[in-house]
Amino acid sequence: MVAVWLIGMMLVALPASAAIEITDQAGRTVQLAQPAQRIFFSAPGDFTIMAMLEENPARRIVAWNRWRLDKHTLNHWRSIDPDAFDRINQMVIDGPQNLNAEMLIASQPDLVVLDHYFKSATQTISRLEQAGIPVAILDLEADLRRPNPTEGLEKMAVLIGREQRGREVGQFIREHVERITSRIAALKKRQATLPTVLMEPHAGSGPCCTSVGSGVLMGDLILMAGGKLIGNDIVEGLSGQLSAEFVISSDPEIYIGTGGRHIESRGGLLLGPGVDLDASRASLERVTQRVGVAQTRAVRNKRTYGIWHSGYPIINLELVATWIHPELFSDVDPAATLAELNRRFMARPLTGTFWVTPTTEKKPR
Amino acid sequence: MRGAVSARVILLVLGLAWLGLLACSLTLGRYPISLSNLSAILLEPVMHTAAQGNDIEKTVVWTVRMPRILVASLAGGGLAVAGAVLQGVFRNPLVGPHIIGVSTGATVGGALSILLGWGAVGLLASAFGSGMLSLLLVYAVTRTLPRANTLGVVLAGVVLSGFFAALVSLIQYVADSEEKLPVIVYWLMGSFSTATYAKLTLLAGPTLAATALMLILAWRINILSLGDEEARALHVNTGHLRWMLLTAVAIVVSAQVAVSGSIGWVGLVIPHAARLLTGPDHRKLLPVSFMMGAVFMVCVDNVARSLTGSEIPLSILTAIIGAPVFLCLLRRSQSRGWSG
Repeated sequence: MVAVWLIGMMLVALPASAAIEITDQAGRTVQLAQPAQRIFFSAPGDFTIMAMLEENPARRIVAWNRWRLDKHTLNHWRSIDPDAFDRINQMVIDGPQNLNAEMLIASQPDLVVLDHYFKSATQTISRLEQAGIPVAILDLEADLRRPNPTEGLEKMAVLIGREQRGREVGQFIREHVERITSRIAALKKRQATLPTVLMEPHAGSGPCCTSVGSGVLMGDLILMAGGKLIGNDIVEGLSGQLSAEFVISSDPEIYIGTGGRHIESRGGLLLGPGVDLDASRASLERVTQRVGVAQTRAVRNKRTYGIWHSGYPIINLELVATWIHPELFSDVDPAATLAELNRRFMARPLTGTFWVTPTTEKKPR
Repeated sequence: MRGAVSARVILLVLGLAWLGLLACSLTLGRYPISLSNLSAILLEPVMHTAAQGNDIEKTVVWTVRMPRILVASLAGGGLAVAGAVLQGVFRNPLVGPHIIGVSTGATVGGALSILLGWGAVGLLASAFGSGMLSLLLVYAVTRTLPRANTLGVVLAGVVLSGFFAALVSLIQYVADSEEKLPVIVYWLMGSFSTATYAKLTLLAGPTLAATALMLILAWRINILSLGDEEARALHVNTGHLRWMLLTAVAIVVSAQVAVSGSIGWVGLVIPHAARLLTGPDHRKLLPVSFMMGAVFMVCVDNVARSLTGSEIPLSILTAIIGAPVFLCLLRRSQSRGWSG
């Protein structure tokens, strides 16, 4: 059966029959005879993006890397179509070294979508292509630092025959990014010093303090929103440890932590689907009372905030912009943006607490 | 008598050096604190006067630096004594706390607790527990050998150390590469950045009790150093004594790993340096090793926390300093002849 399918796939993959063609984000040509129906996604967040592009994303997904997704998020996506969701081959792959070609081939996909983190799995990619399975290197999650932040999402929309929908989502995100970046560009021309920010990923899961590294999206959102990261020059890679003394002596004006259910058991910042606002605010209070953070201006002036680690980048950008420059962005309402995003594009909006401040009044949904 | 006096002099000098280093370390760091402000902050509880320094300076001195310096002192002192005892028990200058598998065993528990998200208390308990359990395993393996001698203990320790190292690698392999793996790796390399008074208490209890036991048994270690046959001739139960000392060492090492992760070289290098000052008599060697270990560890930690804004893991520094120093000491002790 698998042999017949493989031969069929090789025939389908022939350039002559290509009805859909894109150039992926690695500059490779990807050709499909018809819109993809059996897709593998390497990025856990890609299910959310697919839920923006169509009503029932599970129907098109044959296998998925659900690494680090909590049960609340999984149950939420399952609720759209439990039967289709349960048929998905749920894999847990934490890096390109564990991406197994044989395992993927066994799922019989007609398209394998790998994000930039997995593009280094060159041997696996060549094996898949030898087996006649098209591979597209696409970051579906919007990378707001790029000239076209939704390039990956829009190309994915083409591959599933939802090009118009992809353009609409892309347009929405670009407009909201432009609203922030244009004002920050003007601000930087007239203001030399920017507010200092400590951005702590997986906040409170360890002692004070972790900081995001240079070139990491979470940290770059702070720079895009007109902030100055205190750990940026020191930390390399995803994140690194800053000493409590360095944090105290740097005395950041603003503290922003990222959180999620994955660090709940270790006393970390609690945010995400199904999280209660009071519990989230209590966790922010606990995280900011650690030695190092507690001695900063940010805590004294109640400028301490938390965002969901897996939140939509555009919402996170608006949030940090309003926190860093409240006067400049007094007209920006991230809650309204999220509500519009959910209303216009989301198959089934997530509910929970996705950001928290010391004075959050009502649950941001 | 002259030797005893010189040991006291050495201890006095080291004690004064440690006190001077304590004062210096309290001013040293990324947050600048002047000596005048420091003395005012330190005297405030005694003199009942308002200190010159602001609240942040007080926090830095009392909450950030003081527990860290005291934890570093205890950990360094404990590891040095543990190393000196092991070198005496096994009559081998190349033996350190890592050789009996306890430190590697303790790291398994610590790494596992980070992986499973057991929190700070869970980490302390599991690291200490698995360190002690590893000694129990060494004991069990040694009992199965036809001749339960010192070589058997060393071999059992080395074999189990390798096994525990593989378990740590397995834990790292399955750990979440973005969130948990960096925490495990950083913890494994050792740091006093998490030092608090609570951790100081948890470290002080086992370390001081076990160190006191080793100091009490110091003269017996001298007998043990002569060899098993000579010790038995002097009516010393070598097997019982050896395991009592190994248990004390395991308590010290497990407590240290639980509080501050794995720190190498201290238990290997410091006893050598101390032996050059005191000679092979463990009654002098152990207290001098303790003080030298404390001074060395505080110095290393000062570099770790002050050199950059980021914390430099201790094992990196102890290896960079320890390896060349050890080679020099080894050359000197070889030329003198090692007796221990």
